[in-house]
Amino acid sequence: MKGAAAIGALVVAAHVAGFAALAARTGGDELVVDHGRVPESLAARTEVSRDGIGLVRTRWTVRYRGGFVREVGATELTGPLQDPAQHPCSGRVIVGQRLLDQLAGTMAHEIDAELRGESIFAVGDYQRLDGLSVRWARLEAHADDSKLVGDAPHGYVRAIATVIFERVSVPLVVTLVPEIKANAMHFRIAARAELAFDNRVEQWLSDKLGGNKLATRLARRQIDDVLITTLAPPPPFELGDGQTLRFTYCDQPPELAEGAWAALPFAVAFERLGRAPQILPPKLGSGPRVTPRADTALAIDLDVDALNAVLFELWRTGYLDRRLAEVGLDRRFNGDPIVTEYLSIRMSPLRLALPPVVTATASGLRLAAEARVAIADGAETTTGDLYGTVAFGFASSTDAPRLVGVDLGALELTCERGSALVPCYSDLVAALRDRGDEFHGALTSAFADLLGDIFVGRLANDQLPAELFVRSVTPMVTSSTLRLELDATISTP
Amino acid sequence: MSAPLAVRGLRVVLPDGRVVIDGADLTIGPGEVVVLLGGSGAGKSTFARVLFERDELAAAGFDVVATELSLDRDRLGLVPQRGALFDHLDVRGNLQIAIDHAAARDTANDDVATWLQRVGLDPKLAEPGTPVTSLSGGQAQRVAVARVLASQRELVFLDEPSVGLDPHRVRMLARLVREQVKALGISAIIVTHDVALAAGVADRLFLLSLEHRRLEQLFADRWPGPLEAPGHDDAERGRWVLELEQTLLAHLDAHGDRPAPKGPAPANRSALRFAEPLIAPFRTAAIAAVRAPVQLVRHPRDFAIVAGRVLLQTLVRPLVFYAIVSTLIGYTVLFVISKVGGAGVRPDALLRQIGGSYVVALAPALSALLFVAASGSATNAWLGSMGLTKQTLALDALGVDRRSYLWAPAWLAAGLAYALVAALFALGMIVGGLLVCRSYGVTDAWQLLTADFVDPRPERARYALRAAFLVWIYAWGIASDVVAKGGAPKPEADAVTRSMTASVVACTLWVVAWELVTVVVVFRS
Repeated sequence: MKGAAAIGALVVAAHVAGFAALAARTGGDELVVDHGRVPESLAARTEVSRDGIGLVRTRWTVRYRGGFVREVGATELTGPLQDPAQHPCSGRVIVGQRLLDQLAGTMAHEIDAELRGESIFAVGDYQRLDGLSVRWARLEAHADDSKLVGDAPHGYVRAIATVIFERVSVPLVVTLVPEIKANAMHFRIAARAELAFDNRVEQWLSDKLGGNKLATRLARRQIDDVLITTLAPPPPFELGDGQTLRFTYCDQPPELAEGAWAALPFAVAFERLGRAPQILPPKLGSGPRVTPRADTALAIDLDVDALNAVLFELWRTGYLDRRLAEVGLDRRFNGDPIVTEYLSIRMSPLRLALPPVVTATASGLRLAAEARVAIADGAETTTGDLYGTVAFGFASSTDAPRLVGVDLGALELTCERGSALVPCYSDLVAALRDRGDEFHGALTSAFADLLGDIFVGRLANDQLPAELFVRSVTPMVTSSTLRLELDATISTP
Repeated sequence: MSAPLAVRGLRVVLPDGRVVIDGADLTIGPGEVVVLLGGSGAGKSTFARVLFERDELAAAGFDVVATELSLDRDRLGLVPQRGALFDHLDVRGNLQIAIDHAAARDTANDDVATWLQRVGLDPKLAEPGTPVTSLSGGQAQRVAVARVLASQRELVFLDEPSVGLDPHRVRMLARLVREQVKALGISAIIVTHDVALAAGVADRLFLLSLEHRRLEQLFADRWPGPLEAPGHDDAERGRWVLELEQTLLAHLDAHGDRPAPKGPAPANRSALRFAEPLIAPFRTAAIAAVRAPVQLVRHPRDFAIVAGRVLLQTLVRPLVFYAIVSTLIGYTVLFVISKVGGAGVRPDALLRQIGGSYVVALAPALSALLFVAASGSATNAWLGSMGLTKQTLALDALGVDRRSYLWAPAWLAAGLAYALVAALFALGMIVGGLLVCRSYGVTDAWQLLTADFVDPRPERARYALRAAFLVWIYAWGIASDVVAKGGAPKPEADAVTRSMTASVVACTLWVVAWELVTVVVVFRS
């Protein structure tokens, strides 16, 4: 009996020890990616994929039954990259004829005020200015202007008006040819008075009047300033800490379409990051320019290169990290009642590890970003790389696709264990990703605010002789270019 | 040829120190029929147990000593009280098992119907499917005699063979015994109260004396021999029956109320007896594990019969019960979990988090506890009732090792049945979970709820291993305890219920202990 008891105890002990040994060896291999290598046992079932342009995401994915996925990702910035020494044209300001027509009304008031009280011997006192119109023009449509304009392959501004004196009406034609020299734009102005006198007395009157000089003077003083102010790159945007986001002229000339619009190409200025000069915004190239709509008043086109250069500068200067800190994703997460009550992990503020990159998609734009975060779980702290994408969705309409919302796309967390990458908190991240619908409104609003701050604020410009009211800003994507369509009107103060 | 039985100086002391037999001597010669008479408590049945259950007596605390105890169990056959026919076999099976395990296998005596005819029964009873419960008391007794004769033992022990028989059938039984002893050339010991049977069949008569606690031969110098044998008339038989009865009554009058003398109790083995319930399952497991494959190979039919009976008790009969309970539990558990989040928490998200973990965690324990209570108790009771009705004793007496014939296939079948019940239980819990998932619109619910079994994530693999391990250890643990406790001696009916209760308690503790141990191991590894 003692022998049987000993054998029984031995059997139980052997089972305990055997189970402990088995349990220690069971669990299968976790997905661990070390310098691109996965454990041998998982090699056959690991899917490796790469996606993204500019900011390329490599993913090692193992799928388990029941929809459970273990995934590790690594993000890298890939070239070609933009060169900060060059200023490639990646954006343009578009002024429509509609806005120009409104500006003409304002100009007429200004010129009338300028000429009021003018009196010329034999011609009489200045009475009024009739029929001032300002038009984006091409020489092909105005052959008579060739002598006046000379060479204007990209178009010019054509203003016409009639100055009424007591005894003489003086029709004026003013042409302004935009030219960019020394990183600044100016107008080459030519004018003529359309006086058709058929006797010597009247010719004398004409000389006395000095119609051409009058026209040139008015163009220089009233039209040139307005056009230069309107047709210019966006003004610098203050990023804080003495940093600014600057837009500059680039080496392409303005382009004008007869009676329709004028567009001034510009570039986004950016600098290298001191500690990592090799990190630069990707150079993805631009698609063909899309003709503005006929009713466009004011618009800003931004190629993905422009957007990426803007994002790079915002990232380089820490502006994005500050904005992220202001948004307080970490505080929101850590303070969430569900988190405080049920979860043991807490996250640090997010810091973007690489500049976010925007790429064009079939239906809009996609922004990818990689942030580093420290995740504390009790006494243990893990460094995590949080990768996310945001899709800017655009719905098709009869004329152009319009933004309908911003969707949280990918949201992936990979943790670092020494030199290896391991999946972590995957169920938690999946749960957050499933709650993406809750973020769409906030993301859309944040995106619109950022665009408004950078590009729409410029319109509160006191150099303009009138107030510009923007009723709405509509972002669109056309041919991998973000177009901010501004429904703007001019009103005289 | 040596005497099949020679006992000298036999002394049996009960666990409480009472001496029930004190210096009994008995030698049986070939072809001899000896009758042991005695009052209640004289030790007749104990004498039988000395011959057939000496180990069990020792285990129960009896002290059995003898100057000489010469017996060869392979030469001894037994007809227990009331025949003790195997109720899991039909009439044919009862005889066939005796034939198959006969001491001297003789193909000429392989026919079941012939053996039935030998004891005056209708050979049609040998047709397959005739249940032993359909027999009358007399028929059953004769089948039992036929069974022991078919086992071809040299010495046959008949324990109270006339119980329940009318006087006519008692005489028929006496003649039958005499005829078969003569025909087969065997010896017989008959223990009985029945003076008619004793007088009709005995070559020698012994009284188990309540006065001296030993065997005393009656009418040694003038007994005329078996009165049912030819050459004795009814008048002679009547006189001797009367005299025998008067002798017996006189003895009982004088000593019937005399308690057995009290001596020192046998050496105290209480500590070991206390440990026996803990040790017995392991011993049973070891025995069954070794003997099961041997039995399966050597006696596949016997193995299939016993295993089939146990599978019927443990799996088939309660199958619907398990299916319903597991489905309801699965539904309830997952439904409760889906509500744990409270307002504002998506139940489907909770269900996705939980997946099939509730099945992996709960199915082994819940199925084990239910199996112990329902299936285990059924087999425990069956084995216990076989002991209580002396069927196991009859098995031994036929030369059929109960451990090979009964324990090994029962152990294997019970273990297998539990494994199947655990699987069924898990499936039922999954089905219950599917109903909950469906109500919340969870897609791919089948994949979700079976993921931990089919393709567990690395961190879940240990839980799947734990479940498999628990099923394994519960299977053999429960089977061992059920067979050990069910197969233990059952002196009275209450012992059967005590055994069932003890087994439920022991197995529940076994389950709880392993749940705890494995949880600790899993979380610490």
